[in-house]
Amino acid sequence: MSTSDFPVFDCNAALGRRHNRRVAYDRPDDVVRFLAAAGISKALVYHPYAVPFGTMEGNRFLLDAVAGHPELVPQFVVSFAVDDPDEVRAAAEAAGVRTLRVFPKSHGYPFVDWIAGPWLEWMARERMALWVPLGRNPEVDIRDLYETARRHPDVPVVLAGAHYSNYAAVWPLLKALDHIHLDLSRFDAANGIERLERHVGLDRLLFGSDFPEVDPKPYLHYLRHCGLEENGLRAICRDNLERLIAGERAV
Amino acid sequence: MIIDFHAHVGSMDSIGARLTADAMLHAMDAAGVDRCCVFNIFHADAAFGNDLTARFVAAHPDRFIGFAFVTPHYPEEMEGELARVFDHLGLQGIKIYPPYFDRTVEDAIWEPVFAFAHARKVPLISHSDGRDPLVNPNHGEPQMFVRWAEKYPDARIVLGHAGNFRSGRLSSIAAARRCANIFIEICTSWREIGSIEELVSGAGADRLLFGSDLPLMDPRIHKGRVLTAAIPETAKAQILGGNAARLLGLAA
Repeated sequence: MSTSDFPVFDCNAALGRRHNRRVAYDRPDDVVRFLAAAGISKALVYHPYAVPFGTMEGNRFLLDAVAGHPELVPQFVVSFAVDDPDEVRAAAEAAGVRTLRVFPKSHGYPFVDWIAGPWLEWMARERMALWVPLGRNPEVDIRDLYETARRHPDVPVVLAGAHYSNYAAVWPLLKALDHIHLDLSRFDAANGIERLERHVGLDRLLFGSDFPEVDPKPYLHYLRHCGLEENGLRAICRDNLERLIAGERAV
Repeated sequence: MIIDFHAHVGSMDSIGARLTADAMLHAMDAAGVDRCCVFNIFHADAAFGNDLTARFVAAHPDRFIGFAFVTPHYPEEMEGELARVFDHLGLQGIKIYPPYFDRTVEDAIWEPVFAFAHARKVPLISHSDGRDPLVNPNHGEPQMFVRWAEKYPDARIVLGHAGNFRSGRLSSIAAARRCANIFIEICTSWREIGSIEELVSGAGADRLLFGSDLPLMDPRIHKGRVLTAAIPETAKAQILGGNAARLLGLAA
């Protein structure tokens, strides 16, 4: 079974220049070409400018960059603390954006219900999904994430870039809340896919690359050698993300 | 033969690093790994950890190769413990982990370990890291190993993680180019684009070793980094096992 047998949809990639360093691939044509060569036909992308500087400005840069590239699916970065919900709603609807990514720590606010709640209520009505970065410098306190996500079970949450430093919290969190999903881009644990399948099944696992920080090819090689049935591999590499974007819950 | 040069036995639960021998064998089999070098670096009583390693290896001697560990907090035990495990337990290499201690690898307290590796002509693998504000003070910057490599040319010094991120990788390459007895082990959670190609072109495929950091990381991922790299097939074979077999005195 090869991932080249069907399209792979990457749930975690960035597109655009960074202010603090140069990355190998920051132009849409180059990104599409590199990902295609790696076996990835479509990628959900956000703009790195939107993280340290301007969310809506970065989102506009993103829309400009993905124009004419149907392989690049835009994801908006928002600050639940300072962005205007009406402005975000209008821009998301106009661009067909179905997922949001938040950086509470970088944007200086706690991920708590009295800040995030109104946004999540809107996202639930629109059947949108939320990406929350973890990794070496997690963007949320796990207790805040649990308490807030628990109050909004109709908003799927994707833990982006979960890394071994997050493992102790990620395993029980996946078990505790069935609308928590896991981007696999940094999930390197030995036998990790087999253990996750036993732990929570495959329907909440999403292939992600963390491109251009990480080379996506080795992880796709790994997934092809996990003994997964075709349906399982398709679910991780494409179908689970397609379902989230379509506003459907895990089956 | 595919040889994983970097794996742990024992528990580090805070980062999910705990697997039984059967689970480690599952990961190895899934990756097509024939042999795996293992060490236990978690016990302040190094002898206790080394005994655990020896027992772990004894249960599967055709699959695991044991490495010794010593702690600089008990320098008076270092040489005797190394002699004990090499002469009586059959361990075949040494692992040190400077970040666990308030001792950079430049510290003279490590000298007996490098001297032992030189005298016995055995491999010594150490954690290595590039310079990074998050890793301060840096206890295993690759250039720090040059002093020992030059003083003890028969020690086969292996830089675990290839310095981890790019600055460390470039420093690892420079160290390997300077010292013929410095080798580079590739596993890292950074997994940057082009990292294997850069190591091959910089240090040479004959100086690189495949490793996984099992059970922290899956060997299929790091084998995948080698197999999907734009390097010659001969280089892949060297990295995945040929070089390690040479260092360990095994038939490739």
